[in-house]
Amino acid sequence: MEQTGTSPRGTILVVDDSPMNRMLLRDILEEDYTIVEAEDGEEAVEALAESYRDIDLVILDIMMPKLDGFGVLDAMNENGWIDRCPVVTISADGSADYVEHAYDLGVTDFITRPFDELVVRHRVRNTIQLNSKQHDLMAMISSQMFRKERTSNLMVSILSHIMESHNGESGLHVMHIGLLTDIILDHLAAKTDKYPISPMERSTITTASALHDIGKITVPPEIINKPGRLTDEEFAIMKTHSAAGAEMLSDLPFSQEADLVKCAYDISRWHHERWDGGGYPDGLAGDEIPISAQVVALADVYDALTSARVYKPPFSHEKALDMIVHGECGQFNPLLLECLEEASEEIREELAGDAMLSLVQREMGGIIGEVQDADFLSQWDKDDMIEDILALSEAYGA
Amino acid sequence: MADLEGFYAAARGDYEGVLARFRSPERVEKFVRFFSMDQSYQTLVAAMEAGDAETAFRASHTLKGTSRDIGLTVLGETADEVCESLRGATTVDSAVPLMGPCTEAYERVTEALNTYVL
Repeated sequence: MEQTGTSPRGTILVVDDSPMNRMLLRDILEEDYTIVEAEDGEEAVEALAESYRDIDLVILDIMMPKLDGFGVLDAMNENGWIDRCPVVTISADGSADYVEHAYDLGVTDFITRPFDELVVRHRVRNTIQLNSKQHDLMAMISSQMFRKERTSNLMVSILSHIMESHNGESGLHVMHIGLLTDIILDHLAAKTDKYPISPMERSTITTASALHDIGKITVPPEIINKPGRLTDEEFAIMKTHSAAGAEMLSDLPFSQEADLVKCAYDISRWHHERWDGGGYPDGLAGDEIPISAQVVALADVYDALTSARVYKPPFSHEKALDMIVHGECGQFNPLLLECLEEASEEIREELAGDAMLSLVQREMGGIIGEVQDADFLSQWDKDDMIEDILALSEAYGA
Repeated sequence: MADLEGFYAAARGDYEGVLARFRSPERVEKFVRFFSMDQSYQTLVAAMEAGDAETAFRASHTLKGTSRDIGLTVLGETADEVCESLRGATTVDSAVPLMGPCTEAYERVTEALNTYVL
């Protein structure tokens, strides 16, 4: 498939069995456009099948031998080309029947014979411009969606990295948490409808997971970076970080009502709660703990186990999974433990690779899902936008 | 250089009309010359002789269209009458009496072409 898109000049497919008509239209239009000719409907369908992406307008005669204009319109509808290439029909008879049928088949406009140069030029220009404006706008939206997503991911990554250098964790911890959260939520959604989470909410949870440990900036570095076991007193201070993080969020002088802030509050406050009520700070149990915090808690434990810390070497993927499932890090929602085990291979692979890249790719998956859900777009428009988004993420190395 | 005004007067056409639509005498001349090579009249005559109504219908339809395109009013009108009499017809009978005026108009155009254009 050619990726060149429309030529800057614009290309018009002229479909007419009369050589004089083709010549007339060429004569009027070739100064401004590249003209491709087809002598009958069959040739037109062949030309469209080969290069519909490069054709900006079809000028179509109705009465033609072999396949007539309506036949061409049928083929354009069957193949979805009509969504991409506007069609202007040549109407010699001006008969109402023709006109109505042609409009029903998706024709944009008519050119009446005998041709008037001025009318032909303007009708062609307007039709092409309208169509290309729509496509330009769609490309702009795709690009905006991509850039917005990428910028916010990058901002979160930078701030997390800075925060983590205080917390004595690798700069990758937050990305790992995001990735693990997204993977577990993916499996959870496939497994049960007990926790109805929309794609938008899922994306919010994944983003908010980056803020789970912000409360740690209130914990003195000597405690955070202490090699070896914390004293009871030190551990008590360490444990204040979840409530402290939540308080910081509830003290925000802005955006208190934003979904992201509310979600981050839940995650920050309750990501050390446990299913059996054995966690802190509130001792919540079961589904008293928001599902977002439950998932992030699990992700947090997994990443802590498999990462090196000043006080411990990293455990293997298998060892970490084994420890979690056997309750060595507290009790978790049995459904989430099932998800973790089912996602085992995926987690191993994703975390072994470039976490940033995986996270961006998964977020792109979210945008693509959003485009796919836009009922007002035709499948061809959706494909166009998705293609744009993928091309952009490829250009940015994702 | 062709005498377009002379041609249209002799061929009973509408020079002003076609000039207004085409916007240049050069373009008008170009398509008048192109018309001189058009074979749809010959196809029409052959189809009428062979009794082939469908081909005669198509040929008269093309002749009508091209004549009107370049402002050959009378030829267009006579071809239109032939064409309409053949629409959906299974025999050419209904068109036979209408061929006389059409032939007359065509011959007038041919003569005018030879005199003023070619």
